[in-house]
Order: sequence, then C-alpha cells, then structure tokens
Amino acid sequence: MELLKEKESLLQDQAWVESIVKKDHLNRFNLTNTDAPFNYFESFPDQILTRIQLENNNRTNKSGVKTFFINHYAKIAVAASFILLVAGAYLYNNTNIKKNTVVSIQEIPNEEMTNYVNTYEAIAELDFDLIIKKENASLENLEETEIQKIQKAITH
Amino acid sequence: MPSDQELIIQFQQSINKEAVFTQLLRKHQQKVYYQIKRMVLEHADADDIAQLVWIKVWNKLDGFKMESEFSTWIFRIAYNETLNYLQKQKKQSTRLSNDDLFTYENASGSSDEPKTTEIQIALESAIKQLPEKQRIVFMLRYFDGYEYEKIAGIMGTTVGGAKANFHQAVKKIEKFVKKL
Repeated sequence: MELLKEKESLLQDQAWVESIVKKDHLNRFNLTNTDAPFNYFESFPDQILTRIQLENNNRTNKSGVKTFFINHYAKIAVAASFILLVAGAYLYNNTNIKKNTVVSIQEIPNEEMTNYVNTYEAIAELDFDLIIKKENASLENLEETEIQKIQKAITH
Repeated sequence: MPSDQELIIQFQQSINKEAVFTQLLRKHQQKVYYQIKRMVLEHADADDIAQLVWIKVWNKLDGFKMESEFSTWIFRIAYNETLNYLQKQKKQSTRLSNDDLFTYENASGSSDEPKTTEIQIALESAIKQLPEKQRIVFMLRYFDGYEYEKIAGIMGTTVGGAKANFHQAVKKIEKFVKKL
C-alpha cells in the first residue's frame, strides 16, 4: 500500500516537471550529464585498488615510525616510573619509621618509663662497678712510667 | 549475483577483501559517478571525488552495520565528499556565470518561438543555477526516481526537507523556463 502511494507520488512529481519542460529535453539533459570517457568504468576499479594499496603501504610505514617512537618513549616512561616507585616506597617507609618512633616514645606512659629506668639503672650501676674494678686491677699492674704518662695527659 | 548485504558480510569476514570490494565497486560505480558528475559537471572533478568516495568506503566498510541500505550509505558519502570538494576548490562550477546568462538571454530574444537548442540551454542553465541541495534532490527524484525517504537518508535531512527542496527546485526551473 505504502509502495503504491510512493509510486503515485513519484509519478505525480515527474508529471509536474514534464508539464513545465518536455520529457525529451529532460532526457537529453540527463544524457549529457551521465556520460563518461571511453573505458572509464573498466579501468576505474583497478585504479582504486592501486590507490588503496598505496595508502595502506603509506599507513603501515607511518605506523612503523610511530611504533618506534612509542616503544622508545614507553621504555623511558617505564624506567622512570619504576625509579619513582622505588624511591617513593623508600621515602614513605623512612618517614613512617621516624613518625612511629616519635609517636611510640610519646605514647609510653610515665609509669612504664620510671619502671624501665629503675630496672636498668641497677643493672647499669652493677656493670659500671665491674668495669671500675677491672680498671683498678689493671692500673695496679701498670709500671710507674706509664702512670706518669697518664697523669701528664690528664693534667694537660 | 550476490546482494549488497551478502557482499558486505563477505568483505567483513574475508581475507581476500579486494575481490569482494571489486564486485561492490563494479556494481555501484556508475551510479556513484553520475551522482557526483551531476553536481560538479566536469569529468576530472567527478573522477577525483569518486576516488575519494571509494577509498572512504574501503576504510569504513568493516564498520558498516547495515542499518541503512548500502546504496543510501554510499550516496551519502558521495554527497558529502562532493560538498567538501566544492567548498575546498571554491568552485562555482554549479552556478550559472554571468556570461552564460548573457548568451542565453540574447539567444532567447532573437525569435518569437524558442528553438529546441534554446530550451535545452535554458533547462541546463536553470538546473545549473539551482542551489546544490535543490539540484541533487531534483536529480535523485526526477531522474533516478528515488523515494523521499531515501533522498533524505542520502542528504542527512528530513523527508519534509527533501520534499520542500524538490518543490522549490521545480518552481525555480518553471520560472526560468517561462521567461522564454
């Protein structure tokens, strides 16, 4: 139904045009504008395929150059990002350790601190006494000349 | 002979694309060429544009989804390429030059009854002086007998727009020819 309507509409349009200009004149006009040089359509497909092949070759050449540059820059970019990653991780860890140390000392309760000092003070004093005793023993073994040298050094 | 759709599917799946493409090309090359030539009128220009059109078809055919007819799609490419070409070349080849008008007016004033050649010249002048859109709609409708829907698809306009262009084109031709 729609096709019939469309066909009718087309015939009406064509009839309208032919009522203004004779069909013969219209056909002649059409003929003069629908001509092509001899054998044009025979050779045209080959012409197009040759041109397509040329364009394809050009494109692959261009893309080859692009790939080289992309590869070149990609390598540098990968190396740079690796260095950044390692350096970043190192810096991050270091600052974190420092922060943690500071925070942990601050966070230790006073009681624990005094306990720690009291416990280790006794041990430290014992160690100190032992060292003094050892040194005294060794001083006793020293010869007079050596003792004099030490005394001179102290007085200076 | 395989249909356009079959050929396109073959092209999209085929390794030997060139053979399938050549079949499509041979099938549609004349209509594409004539559509272009009616707009630019010179063979050299029409040949250049036709080449651009078929290269574009080759590059885009893999992505063609068959939402419209192949012929509509390719005529649309041809129409757009022709408009681009004309804009680039800044050619006014489709417009009637002042010299042509002068010749035509002198010829028509020489006798009471217009001769066939005079009518022919007048018709050509009338069609040439139409704006590009109106001229292409006139050609596609009158000479190719296309539906308005297809014309609208080719030109990227509405059916109403295509009808209006045809109407204006015929009115202008009528006005031009009545001067005889």
